[in-house]
Amino acid sequence: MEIPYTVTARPDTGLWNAKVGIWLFLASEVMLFGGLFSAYIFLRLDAEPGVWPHGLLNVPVGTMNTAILIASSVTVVLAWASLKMRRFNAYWWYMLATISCGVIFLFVKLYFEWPQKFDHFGAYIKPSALEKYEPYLGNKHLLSEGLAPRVEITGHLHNHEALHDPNIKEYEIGLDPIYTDPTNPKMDRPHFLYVPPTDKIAKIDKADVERATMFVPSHSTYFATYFTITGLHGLHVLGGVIVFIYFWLPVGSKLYRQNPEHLANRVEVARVVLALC
Amino acid sequence: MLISFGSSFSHSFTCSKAMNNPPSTEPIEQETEHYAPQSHDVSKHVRGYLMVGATLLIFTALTVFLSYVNFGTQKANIAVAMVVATFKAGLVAYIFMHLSAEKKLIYRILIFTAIFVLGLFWLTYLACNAIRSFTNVA
Amino acid sequence: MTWMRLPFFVWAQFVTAFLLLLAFPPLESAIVMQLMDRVAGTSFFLPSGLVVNGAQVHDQRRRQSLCSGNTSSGSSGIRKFTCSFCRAWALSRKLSRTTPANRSGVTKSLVLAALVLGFLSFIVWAHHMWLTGMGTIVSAFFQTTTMIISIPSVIILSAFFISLWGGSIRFTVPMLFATAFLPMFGIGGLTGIPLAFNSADLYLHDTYYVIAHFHYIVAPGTIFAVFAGDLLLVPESNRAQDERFLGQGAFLAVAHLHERHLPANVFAGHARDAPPLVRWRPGLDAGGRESVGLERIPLEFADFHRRLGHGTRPNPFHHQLFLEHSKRKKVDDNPWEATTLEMDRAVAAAAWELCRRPGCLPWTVTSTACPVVKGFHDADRAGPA
Repeated sequence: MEIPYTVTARPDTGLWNAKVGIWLFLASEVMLFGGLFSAYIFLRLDAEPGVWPHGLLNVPVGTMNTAILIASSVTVVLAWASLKMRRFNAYWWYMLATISCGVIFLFVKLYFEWPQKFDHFGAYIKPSALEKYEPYLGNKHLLSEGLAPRVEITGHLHNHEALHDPNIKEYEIGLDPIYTDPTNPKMDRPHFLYVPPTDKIAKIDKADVERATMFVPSHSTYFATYFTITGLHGLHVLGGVIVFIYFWLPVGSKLYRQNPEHLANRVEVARVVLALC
Repeated sequence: MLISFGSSFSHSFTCSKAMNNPPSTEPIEQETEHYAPQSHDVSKHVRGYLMVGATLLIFTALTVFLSYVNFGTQKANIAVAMVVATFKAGLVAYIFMHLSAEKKLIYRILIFTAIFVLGLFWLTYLACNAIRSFTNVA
Repeated sequence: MTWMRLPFFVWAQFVTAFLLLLAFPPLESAIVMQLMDRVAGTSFFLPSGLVVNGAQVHDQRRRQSLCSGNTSSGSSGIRKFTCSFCRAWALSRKLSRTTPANRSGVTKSLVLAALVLGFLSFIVWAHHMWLTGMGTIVSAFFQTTTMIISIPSVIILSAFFISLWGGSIRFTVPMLFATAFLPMFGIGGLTGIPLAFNSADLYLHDTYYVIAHFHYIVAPGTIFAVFAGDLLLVPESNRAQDERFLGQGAFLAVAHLHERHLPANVFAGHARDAPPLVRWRPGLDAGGRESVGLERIPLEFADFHRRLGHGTRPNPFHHQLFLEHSKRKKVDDNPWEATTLEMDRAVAAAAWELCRRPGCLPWTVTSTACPVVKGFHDADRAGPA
């Protein structure tokens, strides 16, 4: 049985059905991410001054990942255009390029960007113990500059057992560069290129620590927001990759032989959602 | 008025139409699909797509650059970032998703979304309490 | 068929669909954040004392925030509209029987008010959470929109009143419920006005006054409408002997509602039994009790009835429902003496015959291949016989 109005326009709306449907769905998606974005703005603006972390994201990798995803949205539009122009070979190659870009994006995110954070450690120092760690925090310098004090020491955790073992009384951290030279004005703003933790070890007593975790969602609201939004976004990208694989493989693309316009419309509908992601 | 309409309709419909013209039991013929390429020439748009792609990459670089510029207050910083992001999303929607070629129905669906999302963002700005801070918030 | 000839129930459904599309996703994002709270130990909704970094608390109560938090705009609007569903259904049928003269003016204002109500319901949600520490600017905004949204609500209620004008009303049991709805809903609306102000709500928040307010709105809007609609579907010839019995049931329902909730409106301030704020940890259920084991299931059942009370305990309506559906009598074509098309069984039977043709799908109605719609058009052009 043939579903009507997949290609020809409906008389009352003037459009084929899926087009109206997909824009309705997209409206709901915009509201979903809009809600999450407004949560981020809300949390960011109302955070205590100075406690919102900065400089923790790897900017060049993130930029490159964004560029890859933008390239995938360009290639998917070209794939759709090839279908409309009835060039199946070009469609096949462009779709392959789209899927590859999506997979590379997910790969970089799941095997590089996120693990880099999961391996990073941060310990919040109790207010009463802040003077003790002044050599690492450099708060006197910050206060004299009118900047907010630092309350966290981050770096690479050398003794992972300390997280679980209550008998180990201190953390051994390979400090991030900012804590090795805290009074240097260059350290006040985040760097563009990622600088890895140094070898300078700092021993921090567990008694002086308010909370200490790796950079996971429960570490701070910053990371909670980051992982929630990028995680949901990544799930959407994964769904899109699966859909595009279906349209690329013969099982989906054999529709081209019977009704190429229908396949073009299906690809258009999928790309409408994904291009925004 | 409605009573007369209802009863007359039912009367006319059931007694005359249905009885004298029994319903046809043939299957409904579906719309014939067009197999020819669309009339609007897609190939002309391909160059446009590539240019938009390049623009998006440029604006990504701009976003990264602007993240290092301090516009005074945190609200302004976030506002600038959101404006650039909205512009990019709008460009994608307009060109890549062919919004420029859509009918008014789609616009009418989306205008409410736009109003509500922007309203949501604006409300979060309203909700930000002015607190004494080291870096200027308000 | 034109837009204005659609029954009001269809209009209410249309606006509700629009609300579902745009208001549920922010609720979904709130759900995602709460899921992260539970699973990943984040602190989107937990008070800032538990996790550092001074993140502004969204709401003190996670449950409340889920329903009306910063990112779940309009879910309260959904509740408004699911109510208007039911009330619109039963009422529009009831009221159409009285056939007022200037129906088109009433319909237009009803429809416009419903559309405006739907739109405004997106920007009032924070009136459920005055006490979360929002600033004066934000609360001023929401107080204004909440006051404005009372206007279309009043218009709708007034339109329902007006549609009774000029009709000859027979107080059958469904009509009893429909007319009972009107003043009850009015009481509910009026008691909502103090709650719309941050300053007055300070004293009324979390008290039984709020419970009373929304019970006056919701119970007539849904329960009365459901009862009326259900009873409406029963032809009158089947109902005559039960009329007195059911009429008493209607009276019971109204009296019971007043008995439970009017005191709260009068003696406002009795604090609600709030559960203690327990920091949730894995092993607790949603109420803060130790985790649900199988032995709790019978307990939960009994508790369900205790909490829902009147709706689930045996009452005259259960009796009536059982009776109705067990006896059948033959009826003629229009047992309800309805005046609108959807109630005309002859029309429905004829349409059913045509719609059973092979290949006739629901969306065929939009094409010229559908003879039912074509018949309507032809009848329109022909005019009343």
